[in-house]
Amino acid sequence: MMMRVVRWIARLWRAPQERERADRELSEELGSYVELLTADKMAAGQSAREARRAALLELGGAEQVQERVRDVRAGALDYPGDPRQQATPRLAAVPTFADYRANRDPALDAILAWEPDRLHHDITTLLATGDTAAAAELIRAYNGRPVNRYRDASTDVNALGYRVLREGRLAEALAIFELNVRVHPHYTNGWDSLGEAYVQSGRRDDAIAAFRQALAIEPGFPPSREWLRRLGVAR
Amino acid sequence: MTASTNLLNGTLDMLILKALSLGELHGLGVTRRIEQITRGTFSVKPGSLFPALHRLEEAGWLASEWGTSENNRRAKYYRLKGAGRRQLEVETKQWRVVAQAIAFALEAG
Repeated sequence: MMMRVVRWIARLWRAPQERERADRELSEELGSYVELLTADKMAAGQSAREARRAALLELGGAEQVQERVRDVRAGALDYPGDPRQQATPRLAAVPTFADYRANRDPALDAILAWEPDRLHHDITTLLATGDTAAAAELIRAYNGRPVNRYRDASTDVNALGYRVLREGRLAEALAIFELNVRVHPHYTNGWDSLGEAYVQSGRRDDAIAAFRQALAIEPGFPPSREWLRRLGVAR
Repeated sequence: MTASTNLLNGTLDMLILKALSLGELHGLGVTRRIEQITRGTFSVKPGSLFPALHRLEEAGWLASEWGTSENNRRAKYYRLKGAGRRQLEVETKQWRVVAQAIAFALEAG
């Protein structure tokens, strides 16, 4: 238990840029896995569409795989054979000299004050009523909380979008992805996800615009580049 | 992993180390190599594979590097480091002891 708390605190301190880089590299690694698997399946005679679909199914939720790898990297899974999934929250706590003098530990305080958030649930509920402005406000408020100082809800909202998309609720997924780029216009992957949902909705022009937006933010972003290539469009 | 055959705890790591002892591979390559060397008994799914690869890398047993795949795609390649090779030897020995013991137990009349 103590070890876990120590690692948890260590995780709080891990430089956010380092984590961002590792996350990006991991999503590229998973993207590359899907590409290679798709190519394998096509070589075995499946159509490009079937092959890609089957490969994505086999990956079984990129966000979940990513979350598990993050936990491994942060040492959250103490035992290699432990199959339980842990989603350790990432909390920010900035110690000051005044804290030091008063013998206060902001990291421990943040841990003790933590409560599970209901972001997915609240966003889904608000979108169901059609109140996108309120949903956007909710996410902004979430991002503004001190414990979220070094992160925002962009990847959580993206994960929610994909979950809804996998359940076949295309219109709802679109609303979620649109909301995400509205609140996080600089989140590359958000535009890419939105593009993917547009592709599934048959909105080719909107999809192209979304992928181009992703590439404008992050030139060479592999998934968007690949989508544009597949749509037969020059960058 | 296939539905019918679950890997015992810890054996996935050993199989990954073994697969990589034969040369560097990307993630999908590791899955294919394990299928091949276990004669199709184990098919490791990405949900287990990637956490394991990253755990082994974190432990200092593997190193990784981006490269180009056989069909010209960017892929992250893993290779066994010296410590990983030693770990594989240790695990192989332990496994032989366990396997032998279980074989004796099941044959006991």
